[in-house]
Amino acid sequence: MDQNAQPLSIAQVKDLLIVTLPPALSEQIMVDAREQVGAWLVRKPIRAVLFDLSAVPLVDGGDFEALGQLAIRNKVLGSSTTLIGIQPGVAAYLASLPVEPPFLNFAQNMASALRLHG
Amino acid sequence: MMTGSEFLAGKSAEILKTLSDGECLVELDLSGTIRWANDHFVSLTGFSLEELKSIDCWELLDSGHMGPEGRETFWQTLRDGSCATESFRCSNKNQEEKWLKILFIPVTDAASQQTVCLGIATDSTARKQAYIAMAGMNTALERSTAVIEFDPTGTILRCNDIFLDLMGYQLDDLIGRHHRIFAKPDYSASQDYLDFWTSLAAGDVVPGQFERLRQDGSSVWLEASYNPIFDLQGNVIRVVKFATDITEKVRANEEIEIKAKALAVALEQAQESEQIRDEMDRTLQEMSTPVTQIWDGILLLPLVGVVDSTRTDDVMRKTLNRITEHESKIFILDISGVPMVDTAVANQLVKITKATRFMGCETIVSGLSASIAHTMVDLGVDVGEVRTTATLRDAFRIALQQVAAFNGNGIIKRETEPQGDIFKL
Repeated sequence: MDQNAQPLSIAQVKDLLIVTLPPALSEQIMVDAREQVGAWLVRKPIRAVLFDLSAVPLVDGGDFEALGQLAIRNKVLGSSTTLIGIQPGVAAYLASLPVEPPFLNFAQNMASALRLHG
Repeated sequence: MMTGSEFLAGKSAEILKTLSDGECLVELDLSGTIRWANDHFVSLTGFSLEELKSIDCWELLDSGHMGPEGRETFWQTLRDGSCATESFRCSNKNQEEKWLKILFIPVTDAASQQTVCLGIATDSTARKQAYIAMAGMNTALERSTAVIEFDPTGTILRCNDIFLDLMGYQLDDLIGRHHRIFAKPDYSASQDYLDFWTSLAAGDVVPGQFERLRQDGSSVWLEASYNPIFDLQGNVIRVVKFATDITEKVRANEEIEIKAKALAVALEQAQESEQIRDEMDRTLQEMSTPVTQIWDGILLLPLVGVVDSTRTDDVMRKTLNRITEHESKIFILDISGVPMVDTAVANQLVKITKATRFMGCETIVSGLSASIAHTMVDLGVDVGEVRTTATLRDAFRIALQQVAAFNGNGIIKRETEPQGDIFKL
């Protein structure tokens, strides 16, 4: 594991779980996200999980697929999943990919996301 | 008291020995026959003393340059008791050319009768060869280059024919006149011109390219060097100028310079035209994709004309940036002005729809004509992800309702199964 990699930041606000992803995504980050979010969801009554990607300049196909898998797991565990703050360049790249994972919602910023789930 | 001649007479044997130790000596009778020579002379000529004694001096020394009359005058000088100095070319025994400078001294016997003359010879071969080389170089320069000589103040002393031809003068027109006749009047009256001659008189060499005037007033360009010539005391006694006509070269360079400037101007104009063209292209591009906020949270892009992949790329880039700038929730893409949509463009429109959704902004494609809808279906474009309306009016109505809904709950929900008008009026 990269010692310099920034860790996940997870916070619960009422029945929402806010997961802030670090700028440099990696497979380990996605594994950590899956395990830690899963642990929260089985312990607490979480209505929605919000992944904040506003600091992430690059999201590749693997990352996007992993987030889609997380959304399916969250759905099974009774929570919806919203991706927040995707940058224009990232959005254009993801749109060019042939896959689009289901059960993902999108919001421009945290305020919009909180209004949705508030 | 002993007189000088008596002293010398008493010392003659000693003087001769001293001379013989350091100089090449040869003794001739007055008919030119060699009677004696010292070892230095023998060594210089390569002949033995016996061989030398058997030949006439003119067989050894080339006196062709003197001529018969010169030789007679030479002997008469010696018979008159005077010394004579002459340079001779001679070939030694190995047929090597030598140059000898010989001082002939008439020798009188006790009865004051001239019997012989003593020649003191100096090997001047190296100096002569250097002189010949220098003379050859000078001749070559005189034959190929315009040459003119001045005194240190600029008064003309001499010049060669090439210079006369070049400047259009006769020799008599120039001798005694000042250099300023070749200079333009404003230059010859300037301080620079005075400094020019001051510098030459001080011994500085002045090379360069100079514009001068011919006799007819026309201009000539010279590649020249002004070279001060010094006397033994280091004083400048003359100034020699070697010059080559470079007028055609200068004219050619001037023409090239003029053409280069014209080319630079043309290039600059071309660059300005290019900039204007680029600016127009940018303006046209901007006008071709006028993504505009028409309501809080609503962007509109009316596409008109032919749409290709380059234009759709531009639409994608501008739309995503505008969504970020205005935090837009709805993007209406009106294609009622687009006559035709092919597979590539249709797929690109689908990608735009996906990309805006990833940024939390829903896209509505309005103004689909029946023919475009038919074409998209025939082409197999997956329109399941795209929300469409027949008219811009319908799209705007939906957008307003959706923004109102957003203001209520703050987000546009993604429906698993896309529907038409999901908001009821």
